[in-house]
Amino acid sequence: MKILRYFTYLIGLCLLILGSCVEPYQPPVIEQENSHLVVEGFLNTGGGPTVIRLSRTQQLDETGKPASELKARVTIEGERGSQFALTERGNGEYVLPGFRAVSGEKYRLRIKTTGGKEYPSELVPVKPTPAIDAISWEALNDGVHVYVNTHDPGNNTLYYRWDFEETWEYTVPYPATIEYKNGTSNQITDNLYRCWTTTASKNIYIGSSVRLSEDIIYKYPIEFIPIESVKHSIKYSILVRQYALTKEAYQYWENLRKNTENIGTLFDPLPSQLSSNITCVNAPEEKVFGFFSAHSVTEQRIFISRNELPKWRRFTGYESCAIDTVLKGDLPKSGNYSYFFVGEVMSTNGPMMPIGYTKSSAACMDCRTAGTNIRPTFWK
Amino acid sequence: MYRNFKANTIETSVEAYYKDIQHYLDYKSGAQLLLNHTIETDVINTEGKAYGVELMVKKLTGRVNGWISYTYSRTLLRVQDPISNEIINQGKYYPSNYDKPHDFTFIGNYRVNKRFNFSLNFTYSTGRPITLPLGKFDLADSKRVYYTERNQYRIPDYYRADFSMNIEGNHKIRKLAHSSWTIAVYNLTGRKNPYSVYFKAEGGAIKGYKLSIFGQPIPTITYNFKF
Repeated sequence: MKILRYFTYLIGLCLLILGSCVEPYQPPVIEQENSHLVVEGFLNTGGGPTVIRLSRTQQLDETGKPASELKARVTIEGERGSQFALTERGNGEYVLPGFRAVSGEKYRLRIKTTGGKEYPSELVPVKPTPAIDAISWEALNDGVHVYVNTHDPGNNTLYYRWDFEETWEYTVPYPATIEYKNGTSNQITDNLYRCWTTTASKNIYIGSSVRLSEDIIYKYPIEFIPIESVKHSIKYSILVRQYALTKEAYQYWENLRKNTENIGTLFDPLPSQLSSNITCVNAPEEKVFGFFSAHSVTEQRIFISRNELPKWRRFTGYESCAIDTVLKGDLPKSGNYSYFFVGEVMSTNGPMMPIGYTKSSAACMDCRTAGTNIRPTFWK
Repeated sequence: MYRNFKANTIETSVEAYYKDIQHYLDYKSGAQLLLNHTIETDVINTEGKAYGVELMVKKLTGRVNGWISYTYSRTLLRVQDPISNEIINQGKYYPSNYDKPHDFTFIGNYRVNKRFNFSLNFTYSTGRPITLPLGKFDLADSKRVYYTERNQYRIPDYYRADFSMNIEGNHKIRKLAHSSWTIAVYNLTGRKNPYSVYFKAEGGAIKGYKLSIFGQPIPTITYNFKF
């Protein structure tokens, strides 16, 4: 027995040695890193609004949203001296509504911060974006693949970027019909059954036709929705926006795409330097993030209904929803509270009176927990 | 350059070298290092130079023997390829991945008597270069990380001291087995030398970690016998 005890001590000692192996590593250069200006957005030359978002970089161990750069003076300058001031609308966003570029003119962005620093960009040419030919999709064995198809008959665009917005309709299995509030129950008239969720794309989607003899993008895979996704449980829609890029802008986005958020795994690509066409006049060595470009935007929306898909098993995300009952007598008689219930439980003998209610979890009774019950204007 | 002293009991040497490197391949920025079927498209042609000095003093005999060596060595690379569309660190020289300028080793043995000896060894080398993540920012609905220039920083230096003591049994000529005991301590100072340095995202924050193996003094007792 004594040997056994020594043996446990030995294991403990080993664990102590192994357990103390990983320790935080924070080189001073990371702690001393300053906050730099981040510029996001482009000059919309097609008549739509131009939104430039200014924010600041964060320390690596910070969480939450980065700080916005407020009260800056943001202007667009034409090569021949024209100037257009953007107006601040909060959150570090600066807007210029309805701008139309003069043909052949180059433009630059100029930012003056409240700190007294001035950040002009290089002059960039205007790239008109060709229309999206089609957003096509196909249902393969693993799910729905969505593709972008486009071409430029003039063979001038060559470099493309896309982003998208997905919206899908869903329903909850046990919509609440009764709201029990401060001792009284009321019928719910709001729609808690059918909702819509919208999300924006998170990745960088760029494509190029440089290696092709014609400026055609055929079936660029932009989104994949697996079979077990809840997105196509009823109806799904995707709005794809297309942007034409210059070669420099394409390289910038490509670099940015390679520097992903996921670091510290074996599969990481080698980190790359990010270049920018925006510099600080007061301190040319200062890092600035973002790339200014000028182009128009084209977009297209498609819908995919459940009945257009193969007979896949349907996943709603609400498979684990269950119904429970609560007796009226167990509810608090006073106080400020409000409960949602699915229905009433009637007594089986005596007068027809509700003696309790059926309930489920909040997510299973109220679709607004995961989206909005306001039907999007584009929905059909 | 070699020179021996005291009837060849002390050897000294000094060596210097310079090497010009051409068409050395380094990874492009953003290269996919693992499971990449088209690795040839992710490498870049660099030129470089390697140079250094090695000093060594060795004493082979006597009650106190051992050697001391020090090496200064650099391996630097740069991209000066006009047809390459990517220039690492603006075409300046940067340390290659295994550039460790300083390396120092000491091994000393002291024989107290025929049955008893001590030895101490000590090794030091500069940490290898690293490209550090510096900060992060939000762009295109995602968090992005930015880095320093290629290989501009170093992980902590490597430093280790070991100690061992050898006790031999009796020196009878005829016996079943000749045996000895070794009592040794690995990493005497318990320095947590970095085995790897890595960064990972944890709940929105990116934190750096250093993994060290044998970050404590490891005592060992060995019984050796030969027959």
